[in-house]
Amino acid sequence: MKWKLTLRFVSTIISVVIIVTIINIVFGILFFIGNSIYNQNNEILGHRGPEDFVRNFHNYVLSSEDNIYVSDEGKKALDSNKTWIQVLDENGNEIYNYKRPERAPIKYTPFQIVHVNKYRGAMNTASTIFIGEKVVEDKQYSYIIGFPMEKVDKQVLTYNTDEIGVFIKDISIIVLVVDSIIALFFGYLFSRKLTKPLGDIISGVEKLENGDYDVYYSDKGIYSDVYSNLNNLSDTLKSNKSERKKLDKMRDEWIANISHDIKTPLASIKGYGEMLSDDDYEFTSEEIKSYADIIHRKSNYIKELVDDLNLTAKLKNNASIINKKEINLVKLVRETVIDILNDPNYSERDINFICDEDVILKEVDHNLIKRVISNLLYNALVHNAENVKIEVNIIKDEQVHIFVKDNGKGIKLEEIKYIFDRYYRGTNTGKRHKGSGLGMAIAKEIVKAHGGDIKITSILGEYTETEVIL
Amino acid sequence: MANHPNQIISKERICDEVWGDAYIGFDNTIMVHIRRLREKIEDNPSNPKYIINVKGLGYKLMTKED
Repeated sequence: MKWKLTLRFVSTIISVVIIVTIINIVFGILFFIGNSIYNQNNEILGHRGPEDFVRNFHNYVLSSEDNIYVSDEGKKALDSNKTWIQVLDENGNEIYNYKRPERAPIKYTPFQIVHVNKYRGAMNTASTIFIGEKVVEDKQYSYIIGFPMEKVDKQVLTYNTDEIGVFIKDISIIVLVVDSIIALFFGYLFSRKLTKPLGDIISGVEKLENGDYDVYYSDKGIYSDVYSNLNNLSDTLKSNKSERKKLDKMRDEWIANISHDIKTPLASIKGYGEMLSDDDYEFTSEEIKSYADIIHRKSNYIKELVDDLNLTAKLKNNASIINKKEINLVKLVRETVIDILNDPNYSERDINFICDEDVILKEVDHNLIKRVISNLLYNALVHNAENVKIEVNIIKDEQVHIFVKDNGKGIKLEEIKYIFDRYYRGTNTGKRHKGSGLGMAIAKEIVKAHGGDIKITSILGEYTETEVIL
Repeated sequence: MANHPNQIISKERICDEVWGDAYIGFDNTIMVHIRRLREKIEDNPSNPKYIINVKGLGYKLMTKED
């Protein structure tokens, strides 16, 4: 994901650079093609330029006595290039011509020669003029060759050597500015594709921050992962919100229940305490003993309740209270069952313990696991009729499975989901069941803290089976 | 067992109490001793009324009259 995005950004930068380079190259090529078109026009002169042609033409200019003339070969060359020639003596007077335009002058002043040489079509010649020199017996003759204006062109470039540096500087600045404008344009074009979704994402996050969880984006484009993550986030936040509301409601109910559970025994403790301390009454020692017994039992109940609360809080916050040792699970479960059956209240109950193995060693916290098993057993005993049959079963494969199954009332399907929630208490709890409502939550948290799992299945009116996997 | 009437006592506990922690015995050892106790106190040792085996868990000395 990260790499993909980085790659996208890098490729955008690279493509902008490439586009600018290509544009530069294209313009460069166009410039040179323009030049070469210009050069193509010169092909009538062979590969040599008109200047070379003119410079070498003196070979065709011949002299016999005082006459100057052009050889036949030279005339052919002039014809093939559609040019004309004038040969001038030292004073600028024409002494020979071949196909001279009618309007061209027959006498040139030095200025005129320079003038026609410099500017094409000057002096009514309608030609581009080049000049050469022929020396015959200490006499200097000048000759003028005119090329057709539309075929051969001549531009005079006048510049100051200081200014050429400035010129190059200006050109490079212009090229740089044009390039950066092009880069800016294409960069904007490409980066808009990359940055536009970011705006959406930022506004989405802002919405989430403000508690508006109705954020949904179709997960398309380069940021599809971000979009789908954002969608998931809003879904999670939404479900968390409703979960929190539900939990808040449950906790409120639970606090009401718990305070009721604490208040009731407290009321009798308070009542008996007041009675005992009242001087107006005389009690027999037997009465005092029975009252004290009641106070003892009720305060024990409150203490257990508070201990339970403490335990769940601790289990929720960290697992450090777990003190693991390698112990024999069969022995532990058997002891738990025996302890319950040895309790006079439950000595007549039917609890069957079945296990094929004698020793199953496992690293667990002895007291906490015992707590889990006894919680499950007490649930089965307390919430069912007295003749309920309970079966405790241990099976070992890769993990250890401890089953507690009863043939009692069962649990409604819609209540099973909440059975491991803190604060949840089933609806069928009558006056007899004065637990903290934390038994199953504690059991689950202990098992989870051991890295295990706890499951419950039930059919209303048939059975309830809990399975602890360690 | 006489100290804990009407309570189930697991075989492990009997082992621990009688022979100590280090003892690694056979189930048979306890069964033989229980058999001998039954022969001494039960009317019919094969159908015990006082020393009762609680399946899978241990033994129990019954003192209540049914």
